[in-house]
Amino acid sequence: MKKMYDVVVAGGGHAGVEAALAAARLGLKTALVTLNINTIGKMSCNPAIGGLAKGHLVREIDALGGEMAKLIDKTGIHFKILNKSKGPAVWSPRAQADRNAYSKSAQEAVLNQENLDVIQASVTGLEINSGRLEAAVLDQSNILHCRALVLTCGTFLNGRIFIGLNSFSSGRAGELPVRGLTEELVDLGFQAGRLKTGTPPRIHRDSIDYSKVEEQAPDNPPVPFSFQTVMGERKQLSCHIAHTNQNSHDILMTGLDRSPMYTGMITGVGPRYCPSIEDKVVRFADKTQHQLFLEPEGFDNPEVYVNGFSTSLPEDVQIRALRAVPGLENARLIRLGYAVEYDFFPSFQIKHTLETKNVEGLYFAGQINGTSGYEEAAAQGLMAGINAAMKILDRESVILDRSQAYIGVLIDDLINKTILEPYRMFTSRAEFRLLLRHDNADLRLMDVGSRIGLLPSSSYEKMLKKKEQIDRLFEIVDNTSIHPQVFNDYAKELGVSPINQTIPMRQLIKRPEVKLVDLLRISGQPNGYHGDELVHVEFMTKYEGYISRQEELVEKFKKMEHKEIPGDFDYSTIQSISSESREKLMQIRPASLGQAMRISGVRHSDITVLMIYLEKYFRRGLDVSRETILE
Amino acid sequence: MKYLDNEDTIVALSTPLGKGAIAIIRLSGKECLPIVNQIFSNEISAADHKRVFFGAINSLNENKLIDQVVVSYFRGPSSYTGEDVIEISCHCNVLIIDQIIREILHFSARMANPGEFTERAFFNHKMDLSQAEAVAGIIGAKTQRSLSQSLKQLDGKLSQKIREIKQETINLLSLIEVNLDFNEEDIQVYEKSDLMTRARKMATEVENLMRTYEYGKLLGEGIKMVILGKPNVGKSSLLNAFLEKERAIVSDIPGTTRDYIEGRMEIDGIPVQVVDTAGVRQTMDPVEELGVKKAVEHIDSADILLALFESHSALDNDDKRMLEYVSQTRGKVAAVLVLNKTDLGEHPGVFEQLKKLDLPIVGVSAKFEENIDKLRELIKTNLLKDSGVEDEEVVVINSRHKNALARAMESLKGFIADLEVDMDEVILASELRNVLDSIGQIIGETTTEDLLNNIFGQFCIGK
Repeated sequence: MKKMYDVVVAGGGHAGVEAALAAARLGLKTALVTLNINTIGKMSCNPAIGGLAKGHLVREIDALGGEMAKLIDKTGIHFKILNKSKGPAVWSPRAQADRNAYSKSAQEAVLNQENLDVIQASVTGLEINSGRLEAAVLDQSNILHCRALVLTCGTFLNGRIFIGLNSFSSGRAGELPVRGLTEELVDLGFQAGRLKTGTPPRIHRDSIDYSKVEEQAPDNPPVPFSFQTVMGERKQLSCHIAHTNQNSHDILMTGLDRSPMYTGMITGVGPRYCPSIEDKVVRFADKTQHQLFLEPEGFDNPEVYVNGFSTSLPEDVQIRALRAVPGLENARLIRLGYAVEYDFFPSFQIKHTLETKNVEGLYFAGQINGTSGYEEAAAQGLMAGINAAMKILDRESVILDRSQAYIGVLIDDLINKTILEPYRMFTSRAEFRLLLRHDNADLRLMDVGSRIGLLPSSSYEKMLKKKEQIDRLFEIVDNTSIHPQVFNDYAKELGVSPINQTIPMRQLIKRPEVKLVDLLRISGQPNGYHGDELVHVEFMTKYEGYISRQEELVEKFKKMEHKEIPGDFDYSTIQSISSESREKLMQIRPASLGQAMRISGVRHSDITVLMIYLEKYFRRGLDVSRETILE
Repeated sequence: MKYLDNEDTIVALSTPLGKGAIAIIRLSGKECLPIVNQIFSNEISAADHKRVFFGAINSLNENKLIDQVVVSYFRGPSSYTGEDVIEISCHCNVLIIDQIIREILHFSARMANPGEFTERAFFNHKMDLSQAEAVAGIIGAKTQRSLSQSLKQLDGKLSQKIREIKQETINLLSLIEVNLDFNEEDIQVYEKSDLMTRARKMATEVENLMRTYEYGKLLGEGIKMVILGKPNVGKSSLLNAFLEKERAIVSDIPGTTRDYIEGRMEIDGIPVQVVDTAGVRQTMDPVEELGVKKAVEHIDSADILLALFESHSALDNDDKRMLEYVSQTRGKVAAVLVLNKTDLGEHPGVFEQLKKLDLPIVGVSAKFEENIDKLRELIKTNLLKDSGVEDEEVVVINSRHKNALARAMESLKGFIADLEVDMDEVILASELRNVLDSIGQIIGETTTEDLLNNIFGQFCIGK
């Protein structure tokens, strides 16, 4: 088989699906290479999309024209906006998916996509000519000639599964790993590392005693992920909460001598934000119970995912510890929990386009870059697909900055921060958190999405209409004053102090308890605004001062981002900076001074020196020679 | 520091600290002319490029002379940095330098970072290439040195204190961030009242630290002690008794016919300016009036008052008026009552009468220098008691640190006010992040990784 493609995507997970769809939709001849067509879009771990900060990512993917939001809208069985009791900046949508339906929908999207071939095989090697990728080599020694290859290998690179002291080569439960690719990349000069992640057991839904667990109902009607989806009430399933107890903890402790983690069999570093249950019990010994979330996997799927009980302890311990949990006394295990260790490539080796620095035309996305999570993977897949396409089409690359999107924060962090554990998005990672809400992802990014050409025009127009409504609302807020007579009954209701003279609406909104929607109502203004529009205007008005302060910081940030550092800048000529800073700078090769400032381990005083050298570089266009430096 | 900012006006001492006749304080930026015009006795206009002025720098708040200086003005771009630059040459005395800089910082200027003038010069294309090479080397070395220097300056205790405050801020922020980022089920992570108590406690600590700066200033700049008393009560003898030991200079300061006399001494390392006033008494004599007015001005700016009475005679009207005055200033200014002329005996009742005021009392004989040491001791303890820093082990002496603390304080106050009204936690977090940012300017930045480490270390996270 000898074929020519523009873009080849290796891996059919959440990153691969987005990358392949994006490239194909942009008109490029694309191939998706996957070990098994039936596992395209598979949810390997948690049957859920979104969650704190991750929900933001999904909505951003949607605003750029990606697929994930639509897939979950189609197949969700339990939708909920998280953090609803807190401020709108950290509200985040999350949904349980029907695991099988989700994967099926992803397969349909991929298989029905024009310009996109799906090839059942695995990529085991590359063909490279003078630093430029020329082809992907498949396991049957077939060769796919291509101009770009996006590697989205998930946990499959030399994947190894651990359950107790047993371990075997596997990319995911019941699936073979990919061997040889890591080694080939290392031969090409890439640096590889090892990470670990884990997954909990699945139990049969009919074996749970629901009288002993607490029900968690979904939002109905749900808030959809995609800005294009209109969703009414729908039939959903509840989740349930159970709690471990001391008995269960004691049983877990007895298994530590057969734990692959505690006996040192696993060397890869696992995520601290998603510890195994044995880790929680050991590290937080004073806690007498831990929460478990029983998450359904579909209407017709009897499996229930025991979220919070990730473990790699031996089978007998898993079963006994689980059955010690009230409500799970008779739990029937369908699948055991396990830990998986896999190769990744520390992500200082990629550029902001996700293209590798070593090999032109080679892109990395997803867990291969050290991240964890479907949403993080999908976001990278989308950006890698877009940028691979942009390069082939000879168009400008698409790089989102930290003030624009969580996707920007994600990729920038990957490049600049030293990744010691699987990277997950948190809202606290975004320094401009106030500006990056989930509900304004359309306002923030649809211009970009539409310029790229992935976003349907109907979606773009919808956003423009929303903007008009928002402007109208701002006008009302700016031009309405509220009389005490009108306000004070409402104030009484809220239990806040009354007013004794007419006060502009704008000012009243600044009181924490006051809601815009209520002010519209009491002042007799026509409503009929969408919830997102109200949220936006209320938020922007209420926190005006804080937001403008953050906007000032964005301006400063942008200024530094525009102070470019040439790709061939020779850091070895700057003797007056510390060797640690120099090493980091040479490794990462920041594109701007702003980026240089964010690199872990680079000192600020060294940045000042760097600035001076840059200025010199630009003026002379020459390298700074060692001899000219005064020490 | 998060971002470099070349827009604002910066100030710093440009000559090395240490012994020398003259020190140069340099300002650069848009605002330097308006700022200097507010505190300098001469009016400099934009047309005065490259001109030099001799005049006085005054403290705007206290309306007092800080130093006589020479000010040079360079209009941008024809200046070292390419921006408007003003150089103030003052006497090389740490206290004077610090006071002038603090005066400037009251306006919209901030302390320059190490190498920042040169940095600006560079970016404004003011420096040629060979200079740039040299500067790069120098800055490289200088920042290293100044780093270790400032680390030294932050003697163990201060940096430890600030580290404690920083850690507590991280702890509070962690509680909020945990709630924002990891608490999908709305479990109560913290009690608002607990957060409030801890924030207030921290605010008090920051405030105390800032207050030590005033004490630090006291240590450096010294205090003003005013001796009050009717004529012939022995003010001058007391002054001489103080000064003799110190071998200080007594100078006559002309101005009115009723001169007041000033001298300098030292108590336990604290420099003290002693002023012998013309006495507080009602007078119709216009010349004397002037002198009295001057005395009242002195009293208003005093850190401590010594009220002198005669030990051997009953209180007369002058004494009583002064007593009234002293009790009026109570709580604002420390005061010690001195019964002079103990060598002439004790009038029964005077002591009793004065005791009622509940102020420290001591009997001395200025003439025979009796009990002067005890008086000094009293002065010292009362001064420190009133400044509220007697127990503080840590003293902030650097105005850059003080400014950083002041900014931290501002954010902390914002946090407390926002917490009070149940403001959105995202806003609360941003206030605490600002606190960290300001404190970071003293002992180094806090990164998201530091914060996450703290969170993962303390909380059991993860479904």
